[in-house]
Amino acid sequence: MPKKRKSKRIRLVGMGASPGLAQGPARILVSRQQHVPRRTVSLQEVGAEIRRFRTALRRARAEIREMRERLGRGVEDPGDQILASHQMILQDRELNREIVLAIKRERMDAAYVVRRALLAKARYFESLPSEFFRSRAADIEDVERRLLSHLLGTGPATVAQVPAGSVVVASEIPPSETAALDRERVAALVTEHGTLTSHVTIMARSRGVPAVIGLGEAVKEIPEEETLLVDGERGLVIVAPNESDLRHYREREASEARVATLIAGSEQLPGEMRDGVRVELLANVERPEDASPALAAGAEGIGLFRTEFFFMDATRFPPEDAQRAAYEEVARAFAGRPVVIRTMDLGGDKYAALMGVPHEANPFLGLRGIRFCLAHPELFLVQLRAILRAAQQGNVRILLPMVSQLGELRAARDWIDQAAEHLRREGVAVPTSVAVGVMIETPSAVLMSDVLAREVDFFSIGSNDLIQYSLAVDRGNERIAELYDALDPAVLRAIDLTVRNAQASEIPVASCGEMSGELPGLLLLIGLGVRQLSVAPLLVPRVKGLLRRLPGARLTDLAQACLQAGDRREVWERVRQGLSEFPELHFEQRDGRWICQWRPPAGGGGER
Amino acid sequence: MYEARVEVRNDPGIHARPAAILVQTASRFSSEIHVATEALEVNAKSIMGVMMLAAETGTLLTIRAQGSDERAAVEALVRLIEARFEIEA
Repeated sequence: MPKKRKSKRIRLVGMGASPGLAQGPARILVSRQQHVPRRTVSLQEVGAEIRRFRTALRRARAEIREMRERLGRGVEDPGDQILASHQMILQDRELNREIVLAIKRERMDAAYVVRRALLAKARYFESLPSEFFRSRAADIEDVERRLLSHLLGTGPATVAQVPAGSVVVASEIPPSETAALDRERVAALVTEHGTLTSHVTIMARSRGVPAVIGLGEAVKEIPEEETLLVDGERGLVIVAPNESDLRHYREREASEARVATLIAGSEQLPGEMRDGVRVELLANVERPEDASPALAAGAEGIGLFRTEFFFMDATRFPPEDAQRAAYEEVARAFAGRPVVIRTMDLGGDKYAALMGVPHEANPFLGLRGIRFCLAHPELFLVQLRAILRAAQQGNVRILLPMVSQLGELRAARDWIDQAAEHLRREGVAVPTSVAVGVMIETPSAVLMSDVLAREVDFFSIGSNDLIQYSLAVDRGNERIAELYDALDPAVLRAIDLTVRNAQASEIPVASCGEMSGELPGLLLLIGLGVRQLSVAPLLVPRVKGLLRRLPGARLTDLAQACLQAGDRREVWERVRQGLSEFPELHFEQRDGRWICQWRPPAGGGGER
Repeated sequence: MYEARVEVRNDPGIHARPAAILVQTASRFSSEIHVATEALEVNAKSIMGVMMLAAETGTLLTIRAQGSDERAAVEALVRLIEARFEIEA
């Protein structure tokens, strides 16, 4: 039973790492920071220290072997693979020899030598530029903790020991612990650190455990056994929820179950509204391996293949062949359906180390997007060549990020022509023409969209940046984040102008920002004439299922009314009124903001 | 002594699982086997060493072996790396 202690309601926002809703008492896992004193031993004790080390090694190995047997998940399971790799580290003769030698030569306490040797390795991995290799540091530290617990005779607190239904709260979850994750024991995970590529994220997703990571110091405010509400999709954690939170949670949980039933099977159906208005549902992907889950989720194409992942993980610029292979994988998976590849949207201080970008006072207004591509033609050309070669394998289109003037589009087109020309001269087959589009995400691109539309094959509205640049609001800035709203009439007018100019030139407009997957934003996009929505693969079935239950024609009038509103409050009012005839769309105010959710009624029949 | 060079082809490189496969393969031979990048040379039978290479896609590796089965060992590892770790070596 949770202790009846009156704590203050706290709302924490982190990264949604694994979707799902959960409620449960907090169990805080303390990562054991054992103090290991530097202690020299006498010559006579050296032998005993070495034996102590070997015994600890044997026990640690046996412990992992038992864990693997108990979990019985087989070698294809990612959790089992983590444990197997730790077992191998404990069997590493070279490493063991290094430790034994140090004990002998320096006459040093075994625990101290183990800590020093393994932490030095962990620091080495942390210093690597590639995130894949950097994350090995967590494995080494995990092995170190396990060995020390045997050397010092202390058992670590583990995920496997928390009572069923707990929300596990930790600074971070050691990799071997993630193997023991299962939905019955662990209702949700909440961590201070972690990235979307860390073990904990991957394992939480594969086991269906909701997770919010990267909450920072804020996790320290969570009292043991306090009730937590976790929303793994929105990255939200509510500590000591009040009655209204709990009611909201129960309602959402029930409606999520109904949504799941309603959308089951929608994967095979086309994106179409109740009155026949066709809205194509596309997926945003970040890595080639996202393609098949997107296809399985019912995506009718790839609306946005971000290519930055190459640069996040790499120590140097990814070679043409590696890029081509990745693009081809996606193009082939979607066999003839559109695959829009966005050229590298780099810039800002994030990539400074890799690309040698000088520090900028204002990175969002700096050398990023197409500006970066054009400033680095040697990199841009390699990427274009890879895309053009992949275009032989499917319906590949090129999307240029953050174009803010016509000259950039023309310069990029010249590079594309040049890349194609070079390839042909080398005897490499490339399609006679590849569709080229621009992201509409700056006010200047919106204002010049009539001119741009005459020289491109399609537009893609990047709502996240468009909102930020149009409203001059950095949504990461807590003090003004409230001003960031897709429903601001200025944003709607920018989208309206873009769509009308696209229609005049008869080119399609897609939308690929968060607005395309969020209510009520996506309905206004449709009302304004957008007919392609590109969303995270996870959201494809949901958005498709929702659209199949709503009529599209009505949204035009609603969007027109919203364009005439004076501010976002008025837009929200009109949206609530306009959509009030659809009881499935639920509006309520939470934490000072209106939100809109799809809540199909209990016992509501299937579609049509 | 026998040696050969080979380029890492699998994506994103020799991280945890491929490293384990490489070490298991190397351990089947009696020769001393080393793998080197431009920056680092490690024992091919040590998982820690192989992970520390941090060999990404496109990295050029030199594999050296010394012993009775040196040639077979180097060839097996080259085949494995060329096949992106997708074969039983």
